Amino acid sequence: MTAVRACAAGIWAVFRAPGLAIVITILTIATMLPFALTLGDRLREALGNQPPINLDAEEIDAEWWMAFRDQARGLEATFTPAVIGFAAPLENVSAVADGTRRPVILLLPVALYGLLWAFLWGGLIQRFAEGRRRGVRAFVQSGLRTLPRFVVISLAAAAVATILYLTVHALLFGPIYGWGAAVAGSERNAFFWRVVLYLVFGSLLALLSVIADYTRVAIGLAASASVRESGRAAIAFVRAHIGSVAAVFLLNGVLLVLLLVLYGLVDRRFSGWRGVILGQAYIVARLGIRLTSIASEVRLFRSLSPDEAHGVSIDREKPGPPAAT
Amino acid sequence: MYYSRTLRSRRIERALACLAGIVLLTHALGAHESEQPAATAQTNPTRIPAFSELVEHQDVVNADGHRIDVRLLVGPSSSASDRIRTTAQASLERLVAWFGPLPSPRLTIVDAPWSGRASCGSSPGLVVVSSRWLQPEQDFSLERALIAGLARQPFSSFAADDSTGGAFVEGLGRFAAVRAINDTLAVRHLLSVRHFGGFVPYQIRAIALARQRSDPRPFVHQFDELALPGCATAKGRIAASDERVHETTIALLSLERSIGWPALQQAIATLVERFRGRTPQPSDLMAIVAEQRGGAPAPIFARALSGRMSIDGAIAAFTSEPGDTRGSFRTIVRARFEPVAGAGAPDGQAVATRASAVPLTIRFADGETVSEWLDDVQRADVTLEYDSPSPAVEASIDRDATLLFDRDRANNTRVRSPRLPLTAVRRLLNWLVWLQDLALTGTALV
Repeated sequence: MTAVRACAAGIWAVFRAPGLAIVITILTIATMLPFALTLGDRLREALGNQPPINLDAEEIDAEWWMAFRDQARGLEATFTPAVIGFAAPLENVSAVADGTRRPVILLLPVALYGLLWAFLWGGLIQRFAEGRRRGVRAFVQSGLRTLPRFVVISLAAAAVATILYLTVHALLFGPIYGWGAAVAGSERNAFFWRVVLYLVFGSLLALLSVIADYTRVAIGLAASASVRESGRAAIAFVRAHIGSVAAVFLLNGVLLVLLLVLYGLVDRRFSGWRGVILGQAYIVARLGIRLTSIASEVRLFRSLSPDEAHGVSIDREKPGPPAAT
Repeated sequence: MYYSRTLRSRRIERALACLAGIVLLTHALGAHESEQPAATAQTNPTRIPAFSELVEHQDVVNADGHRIDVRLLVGPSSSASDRIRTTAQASLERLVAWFGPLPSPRLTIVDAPWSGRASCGSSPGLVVVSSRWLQPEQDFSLERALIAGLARQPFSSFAADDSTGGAFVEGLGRFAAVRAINDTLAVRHLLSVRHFGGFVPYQIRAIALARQRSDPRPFVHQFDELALPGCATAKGRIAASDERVHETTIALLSLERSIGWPALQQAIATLVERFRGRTPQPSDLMAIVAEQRGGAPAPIFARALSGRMSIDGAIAAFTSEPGDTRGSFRTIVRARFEPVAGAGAPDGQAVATRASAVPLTIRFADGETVSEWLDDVQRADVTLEYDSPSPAVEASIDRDATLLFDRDRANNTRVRSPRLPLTAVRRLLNWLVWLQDLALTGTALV
């Protein structure tokens, strides 16, 4: 019940602060926009120098697109039909699950976005811990105060994730999957075997993710804590309350899955510009789920941790002078 | 303190040892790609995989008045038999109508069960495909694989040869497959991608692989199934060893765009009839075309068919500035032709002489268009000048994409002020959404 209450509190906290999701959406678009403008420039040149035969068509000529995709490198190589509509999140999830190699250039937008979130985490933790508006200045101060440590956490988590992909993922989806597929007897069984391996590897990634998240929460609630101390506290917290932690993670995961299913169903009815608007609405909803996840983790940590674990860093307003009597 | 440091060091050592062990184990057992298992292409499968149960269906296909007995072997739980039957019927009718009766009136199509490594292929009288567990109606990889296998049947009467003729015969098969795929699947053909190890298909409805009404020529894009006949794969490009076959296929598609499908179809049908039991060469086809049309096509196609013609035509320079006379503009266009390294003619002049069927198109701002055929080219670099009342806006070599063996079509056109069409802006915004989702997914893990 603690986990359910924490999730419900998280959802309620996000509903009470719709401006957060909107502002973070704007920041997200602003971070990614330079890459889109760069690609747009190259597309203009490519479409100008290799025009699709039928320029009046309502869609980019498929043959032109296939030829462009075959010759494209770097950022241009990511401009494929698989970015349209629901195919986009499906492709991204599949790439994470399969460990698909991406063009190196994509590290840049992801790193920039990681830096943005390292800043946002600080302000969000304070915002959800206090449960009230704090003003832009206080939000920025909180974010900047914890930014260096959160960057360290992100880098460490990225390093561990990379090692997991290079070792455990390669083992699971290499020889282990190959053996399983060979004895599976049918394609359906081979797929289910693959799903089992996805769950095994996904559990490791989830564990890494929650430890990183609760480390941030621990730092955010006890501003003087170092990364190492907070990391230990987070691991101890996860160990002591693995059930609740897993439940919160899974409940938020269910929200994300529901969103994906809904998007997949609705996307079939929309095309053209409405499809673009729908896609952006999906991003806003996804950001909402991420905020819910943070809020519920903060709530869970505060409710289950000993009081000294989240000490005095919550910026309480200084009490004013005593009222004159 | 010393005790805790030692304990921590031991834990770290154990963790590192564990990781090292995993790495060694992975390499020892052989790391596979994380996508679906590779299909094993067998152009001459000598065996059908041993199945414990197979359901046999007998069909008779009446193709253009010729009877073909089709034996279909599918697994008991296969749901693809109707699709295979329908596609086989439609494509065999076309192939027989185009190229005459098949060498053998009996054909066996096997829907091999998936077994980790798909067995597939095509040989005289036999086509092996492998339908997938998740094969939605709109996922035509099975149909493409089947058509690619069937399209080789008309040419199975040719003798096997590893020389130029062998690549030419294989190129004929692929060309016929491209044609048959385009005609048989027509407007139903959507782009399909597979995720999660190649198991889960998804159709991208916005991208139709059927031709537009304004351009009914076959889709040139080389489907993966063409290189692996009978194999419904979800990845892979044409292998390097297939390069020559690929060039032959491209050359045939170019020849079709030049002389038209009826003329080429008639020529290939004559080739099949005259060369049963022998290995035809590209020059044999060109001779038949010349005989039927009363004149040979441009020599550039003969060299392209031999797999030895790779050029890169480009607009090297394009300017349109106000001229000396008021109200006039001087346009200068410089076009060049270069053989691609390792292929093509031995010297630039020979390339230019053979590049005598190259159209050059210049469009002007007032809507006028000038088309030049570079017939009198004696060198690999051509400069043309025009005086016009309005500035030129575009210069293009082979704008209609007839010479598909031009290695790099990106430099074939120069536009003075390129603009991004609204369609492309919309797709760019799709891409922006995709990038946001990618960033969200990536940062969610860390």
